[in-house]
Amino acid sequence: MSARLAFLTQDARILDLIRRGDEGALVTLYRSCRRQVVSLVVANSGTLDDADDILQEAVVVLWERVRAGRFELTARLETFIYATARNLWLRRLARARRELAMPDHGSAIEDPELPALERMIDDEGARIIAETLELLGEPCRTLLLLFYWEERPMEEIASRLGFANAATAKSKKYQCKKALEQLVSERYHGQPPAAAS
Amino acid sequence: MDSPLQRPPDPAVVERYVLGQLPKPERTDVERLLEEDPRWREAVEREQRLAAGVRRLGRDHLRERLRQRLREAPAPAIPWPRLIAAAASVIIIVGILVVNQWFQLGRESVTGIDQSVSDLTVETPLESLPEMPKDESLADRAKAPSPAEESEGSVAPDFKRADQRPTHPRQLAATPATAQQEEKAEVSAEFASEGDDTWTQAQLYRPMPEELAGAGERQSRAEARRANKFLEDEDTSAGRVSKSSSEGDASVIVVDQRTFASLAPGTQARVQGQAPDQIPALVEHRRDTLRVILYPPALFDSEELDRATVEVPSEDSLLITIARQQIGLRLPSGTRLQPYEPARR
Repeated sequence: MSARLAFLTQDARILDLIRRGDEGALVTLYRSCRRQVVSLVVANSGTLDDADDILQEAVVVLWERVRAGRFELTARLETFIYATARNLWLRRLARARRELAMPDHGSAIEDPELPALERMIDDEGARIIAETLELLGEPCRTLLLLFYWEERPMEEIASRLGFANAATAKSKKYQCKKALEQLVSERYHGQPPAAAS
Repeated sequence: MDSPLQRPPDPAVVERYVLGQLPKPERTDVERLLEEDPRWREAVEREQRLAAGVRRLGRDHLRERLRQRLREAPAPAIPWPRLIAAAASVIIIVGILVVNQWFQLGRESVTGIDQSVSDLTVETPLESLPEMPKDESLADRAKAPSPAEESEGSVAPDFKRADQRPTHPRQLAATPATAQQEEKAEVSAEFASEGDDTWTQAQLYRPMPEELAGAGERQSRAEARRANKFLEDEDTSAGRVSKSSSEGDASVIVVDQRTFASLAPGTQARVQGQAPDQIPALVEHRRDTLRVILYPPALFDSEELDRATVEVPSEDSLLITIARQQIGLRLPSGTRLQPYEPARR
């Protein structure tokens, strides 16, 4: 006998789809929020492309939070996306202003409000890791993405990637990290990833 | 147990620290180690860079897939049946209002008419008609007592009487309240346990053109101040902002209850902005203050919030002026701003 879930709201339905990994839900959310975000960005020195870029970022933030189990529904999803997009855009404007004021510092200017991990995502070191990870092959790439990006527990990773158990997956993760570091060292003049940037 | 300087970095602890999964006591321990031990600093930096790189790749891939889906999936067609139904509803409501108004006008004029309309003829040429009086400002109204005040000696206007309701040149958009349409899931935990949970509409007015901003803004603020002074002097309904601040993602304006007649205690009025020029807002009566919370904020800073003014153009609406922007708040249907009356003991 099959049961059909009945959702009280569209938001609950979208969240359920995201939890199940259905990226189509993001398209629905993107379209329903676009007018508001375009209006916000264009009214504050931005372009249509900026608005689309910011909206994509905001939708990805939601995806990450939901997938990592760190999202709590306290307002409408559209409100969350709008507020996130607004914060991202204000941050970008502030950064552009700081860069304008101190052109010599360039990308070294950091936003103190951001967590360290978020600050490093735009760094050259993170770019090198991301590029190298593309070359690493499977299952290492998926394993590291599941662990570091989606923050899935080792038991689930083991089940999804066909490992015997969590301990095997953990051991494989260690090997993958070593392989990635080795590849980075080879590609970037024998320097370790921390120094490669 | 090892002293901090002797304890080598534990990869599992470093991973959980970087991913923000450590409980607070352990996180504090690691932060102390980071200050004291360069090995821990290096291990955490290396792990952060790795995690940042993996996340970057994950985000890039997801964004690319999202762009691909947006390109492939056609935009949804215009929901004509819904639009037609909505338009029909609006026409019916407007029709009812017009008919209602017509009957009211009819009742008022019945006693004064002693001949049929068809017998009336216009004898005065248009050129000689007396000039129409200009729309008087609230300040002018403050100086000139209303007919009701003259006849009854009353100082405070009565909002329940149509002839004493304050009006304003900047009329608010007449948008119907959508209280019943809002979903329970939208209620934030902070307010869920208190009072009614009703929403209202807020309209964000367009800022005036940049070249007119200086003079126009001054005029607008002076007008608002005059209106507020009048309302305060009359001790009716209000307009003084006693406190303003930003709370998280929201801009909060608190209005002094002594001069502000408001909702019943515990009542809330919220709005969920649907159109680009509508912003979510919450009007809430807490103890002796009325809080107007704009959420999410419309890019106001604290100085602009401090200079905000609140007016009451009609008994079911507020007009908030912040910087060069105006926000009209229409209260839910059935909710009225009443003259403030101290509790009798």
